[in-house]
Amino acid sequence: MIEFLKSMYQYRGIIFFRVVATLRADARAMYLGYLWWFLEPVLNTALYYYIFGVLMGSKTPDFITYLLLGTVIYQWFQSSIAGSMGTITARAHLHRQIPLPKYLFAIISVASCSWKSACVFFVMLGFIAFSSGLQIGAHLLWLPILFLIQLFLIIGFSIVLSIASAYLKDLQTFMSVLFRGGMFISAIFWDVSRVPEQLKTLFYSNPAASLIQVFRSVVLHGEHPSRILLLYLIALSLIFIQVGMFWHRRIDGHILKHIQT
Amino acid sequence: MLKKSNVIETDNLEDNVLLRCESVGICYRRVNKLGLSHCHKDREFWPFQNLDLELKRGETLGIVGKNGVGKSTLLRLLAGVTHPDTGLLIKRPNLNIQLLSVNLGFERILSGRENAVMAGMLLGKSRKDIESRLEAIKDFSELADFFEQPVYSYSSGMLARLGFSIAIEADPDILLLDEILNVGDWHFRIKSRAKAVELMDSGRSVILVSHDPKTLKDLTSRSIKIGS
Repeated sequence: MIEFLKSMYQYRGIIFFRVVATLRADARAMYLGYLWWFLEPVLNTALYYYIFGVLMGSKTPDFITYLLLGTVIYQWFQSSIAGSMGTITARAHLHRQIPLPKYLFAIISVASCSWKSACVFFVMLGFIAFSSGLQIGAHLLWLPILFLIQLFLIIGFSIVLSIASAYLKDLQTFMSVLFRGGMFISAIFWDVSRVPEQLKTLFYSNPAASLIQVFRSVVLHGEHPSRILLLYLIALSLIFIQVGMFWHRRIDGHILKHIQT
Repeated sequence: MLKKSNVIETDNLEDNVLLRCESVGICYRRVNKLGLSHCHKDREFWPFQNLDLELKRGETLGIVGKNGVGKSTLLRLLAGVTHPDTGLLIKRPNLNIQLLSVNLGFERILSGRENAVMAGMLLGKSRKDIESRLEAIKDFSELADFFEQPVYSYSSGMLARLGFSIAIEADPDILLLDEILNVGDWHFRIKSRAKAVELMDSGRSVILVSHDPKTLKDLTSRSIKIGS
């Protein structure tokens, strides 16, 4: 973990430079530019609202905000991790030239994705405050902590999966299936209270479900998040970062001989 | 299983010696579909084994050998991009080693200027430092207006010129050149050779891979041949 933070400090300049360049290039490439950051989650939410709220009638009170929060958090989680997979292979030409940490471009991808998602999150928070009333209180101080936990969780998964996907390309397809399934098992568009008591542990072992739940406690219910879920998420992120760094140390000087580009 | 790193950084080397390879070998394993390497001996490919090499300060070393004997692999090894599978690579700490090959690590959609900034930062320069050298890079590469154009619009000679100019401005202790002095037009070849000589005279070391006997004879103090 300390090794990871040190290398982040060492490469902070290039990370910042690349994140800004990536975000600008993405926005420049599309006609609606930065507007897409916000349009995408809004359109997704509208779609889910139509399917699950209107057609299937699973409307709970404040269904829109419930749905919106779940969608935004899940998209943050999913797009950051998915974006980091394949980065080693995609940047092999640079890795062959300069000795760099092989997870560097995964981190850059996570950082740009997270920056985008954080902007969306705050606009959404404004919308929630405006429409259904956000309870202002000390519980909101949890938000920065939740952001950090989420970031480290994503980073842990990204380091491990970026290395794994360099060796095994199939993993990218597999993960996209897993992420699609994850939408259904993370209680994004159905009420979390419908999970039977004896299956709760299983349900919350899915990190995306736990993550969405702690955000909902703070933003929608005005409560402090569950300590057990927080501890679980922190432990998971530390384990994954540690495993990722250990694996990286083993493969760093050898991976370029094995990847297919 | 992958071995532990066989690279040592130490100041405990004889005077003037910058780095040394001790019976170094590299092994490419043919991987199966799962990306796992086979353990069978016949699945292994060793471009070279038991290679010894020593590089002194201010020395120019040529490397010759047929295609596929591992010349580029050796340069990647010296640059620290790959680690040896057997033997030891001993080098002084904090050496600025730069590898230049024909397939340069550029980002195709970024301009020459942006690539120069990025490459400089990846090589450990601060953004301010590299930005103060941009005009020198632009001048030496003679790219003129193309410096602001995306790199995908460059010819291969222009790419080599940009790469060489960035590497020179990044102030390397050791410059590793993979066939790079033979690209570009005559004018740039003469200029880049002169620059290489200037580097050597200022105490930097250069290792160059070339198939051209005349280049090696003109520029290097000694050559080693790898592969039998």
